[in-house]
Amino acid sequence: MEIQIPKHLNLSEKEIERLTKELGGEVVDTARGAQAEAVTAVKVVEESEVVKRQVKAKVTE
Amino acid sequence: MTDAGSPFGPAVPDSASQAFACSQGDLRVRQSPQQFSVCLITALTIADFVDLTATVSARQNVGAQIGVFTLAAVLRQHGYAVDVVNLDEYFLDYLKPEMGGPTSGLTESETVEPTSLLAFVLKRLSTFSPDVFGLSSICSSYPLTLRLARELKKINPDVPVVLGGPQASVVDVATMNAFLYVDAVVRGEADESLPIVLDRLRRRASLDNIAGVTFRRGHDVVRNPNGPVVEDLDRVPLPAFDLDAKLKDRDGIHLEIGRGCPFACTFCSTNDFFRRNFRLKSTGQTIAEMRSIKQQYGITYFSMIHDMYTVNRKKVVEFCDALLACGEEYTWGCSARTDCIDDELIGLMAKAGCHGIFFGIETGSARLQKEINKKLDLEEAWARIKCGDANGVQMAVALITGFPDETRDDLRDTIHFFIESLRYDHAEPQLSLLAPLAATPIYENHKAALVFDDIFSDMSHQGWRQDREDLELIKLHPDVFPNFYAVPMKWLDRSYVKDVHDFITYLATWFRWLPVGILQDSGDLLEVFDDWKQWLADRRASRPAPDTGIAPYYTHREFRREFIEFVRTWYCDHRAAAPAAVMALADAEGWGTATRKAPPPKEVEEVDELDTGAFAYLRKPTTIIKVGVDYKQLVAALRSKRNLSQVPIRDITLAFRAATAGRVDVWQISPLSGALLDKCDGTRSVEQIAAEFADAHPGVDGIPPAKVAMFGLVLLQRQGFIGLSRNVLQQTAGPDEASEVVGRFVPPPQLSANQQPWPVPATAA
Repeated sequence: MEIQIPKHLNLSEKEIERLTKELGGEVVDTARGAQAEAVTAVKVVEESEVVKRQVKAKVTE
Repeated sequence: MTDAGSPFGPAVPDSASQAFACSQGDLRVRQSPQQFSVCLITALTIADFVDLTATVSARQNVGAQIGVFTLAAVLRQHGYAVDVVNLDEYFLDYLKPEMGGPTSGLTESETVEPTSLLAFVLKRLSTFSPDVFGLSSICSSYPLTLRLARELKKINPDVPVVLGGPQASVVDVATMNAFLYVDAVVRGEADESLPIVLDRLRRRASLDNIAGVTFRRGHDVVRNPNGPVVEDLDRVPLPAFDLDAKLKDRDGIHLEIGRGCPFACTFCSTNDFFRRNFRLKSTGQTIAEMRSIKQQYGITYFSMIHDMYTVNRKKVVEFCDALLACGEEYTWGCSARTDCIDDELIGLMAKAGCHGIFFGIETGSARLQKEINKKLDLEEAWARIKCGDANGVQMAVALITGFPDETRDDLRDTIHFFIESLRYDHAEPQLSLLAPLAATPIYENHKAALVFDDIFSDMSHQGWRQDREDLELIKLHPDVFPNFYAVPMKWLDRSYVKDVHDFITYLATWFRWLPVGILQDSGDLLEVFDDWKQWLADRRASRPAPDTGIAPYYTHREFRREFIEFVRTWYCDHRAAAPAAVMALADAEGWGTATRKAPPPKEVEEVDELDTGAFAYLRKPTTIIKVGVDYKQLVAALRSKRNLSQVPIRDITLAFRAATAGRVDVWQISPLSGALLDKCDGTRSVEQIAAEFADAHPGVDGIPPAKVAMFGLVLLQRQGFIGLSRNVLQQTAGPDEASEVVGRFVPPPQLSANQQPWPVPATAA
């Protein structure tokens, strides 16, 4: 990735290399299942829905 | 030609002199098929997971059972007017509050009597007035199908009720003896027999001598001999997809590619239905059908229906070559055995658009493989899974536990196979409890010993609890509903096996690398399960069990919380060979920090360049977690089964960041970048962040900390983590909100109560 460093930071090539090493990151895995869903909040279950269905269960029991 | 004008085979002699005995009312004889209407009702295949969102997300969106729509097309060819009622769609509507289902009105008052599903369905069906009801069936919803048949007969006493499909086909006589409102059962493949049945019903003639039909003659139940299977599947018409009201909303579509598995596994019921007669549609026909569906409905994902597609390698190669040659883009999924597919074929299939394969492995025990007559070489199975993974093919790795002769060692082998498969990105394991399906060798060998122990197979569930009225029927008729019963286990307690099943299933649902790591670290997951149960029992002695409501414990996030605590406070201290690695997995998958949501784009006044007055915010939902080992090397060690003790110990910050199409990337970033990310909450300017960073951190090799911070922010911006806005943004999600980020419970990985090939991917639609 080519990074445009603002000139006002006044960093030398060597310093940029050093900071890139110190602050850089990389993708090391892909989350899946519930873990991924927790991040994207795909299957967050609304409390109100749960309560409603529980009531249904009580009524029908 | 048959008397019903069937295109499928020779005529079956008609004993028209004997009147159809089932209907006692005054039915008119219809002069032509056009005057005779049929209402086909699918079996319910969706399981109820309490919550509408969870239930909807736990189903495949590829349409109703292909058999019913195919029969509708066949009947149309014979001139009949056909309606198809998709019970799955009715059920989903029933769950919607605005449709008058169980949740309607409950926001206002808890005392409102909810409508039962049956009442809801009957109300909708009241708009139909067919001359015949035809109900399809599968084992898990057969009690509901029969209750529906009973009510339909009550309301329409003169209208014949005919059953078909996998379950009615194998318990036909028992069904008709027990339930007098069922007039006939059309067994097995009904493409030829159903038109003949309808023709006789139309003319009020007897069902004598129609192959594959069970019917009433006075008080007797008569079972005609089996009919032939359809040898030339190219002559079967394309299903009447136009009768699928929700077609435009489908992500993909089921398409029959052939019928019949030639193998004879002892637990499997499809042998009886398709009589182990392996057939395929021709390549030309299949591609023509795919093309036709694409042209008519714009659908390009196909869930290919065949119990065991890859038996004839030459035909699969021919199909893939033709797909590649046609130059049209299709994606598809299918079922296969790991010994009926090879690496070269998997590669070709992937190239030709195969997105997913359902592998029935059944057991991780080499001994049980022989016992159940599956006879897979498990090393070979691993090689195929590895190859599928390398080709990017999603794989369902389906396993079963609860076999009558299963030992603790067998159970351990199976759960280890299950967890081991999580090492592969494209493998998704499923573990089912054995159900003694009617007409299978396991059922025939143990039917006298079946027990009703209130532990239901997930092959037979209708969600997390069975309907009370269904249970009454099930208890009265074990020969009609054997799948709800259990085969006693000789060496293991079934409640223990059920507990292990739930534990393992939801370990893989809540976590990925943590169970893999614990298996690798301990070498015996069953022993860890016993440790966990003891830890839990000790904990319960001083603390009450959490209230999980209607949701079973393992499905609930309380299990996730307690298991993480078990790993941190007990496993790592008492058992772990590589505690730092296991602790890092618990930290990484324990979500110690809340996800911060991205602000709505319309609220952002974007700034491209680093401006000290701009406010830094997280562009996408991101979770930041700190762990104590090199996570990249830890994941690599888990993928390749390397020694976890050799993973370097160092402080690492992980950022779980939403990427595209539901994908979440795990970034390994330095603690310094992590500290910067923590501050990018939309309320701090670049200048503030740099100042706060400088207060807490020294510089790097003589570079002042404020400059380090500015450089770090540029880097994070370029990596897409942060954006810069002229205005202040609110991105609140502190630790207090962590509990709200994680869903309260999750449905199991099995997507419906019936086995299907790999479901449509979210990105294929």
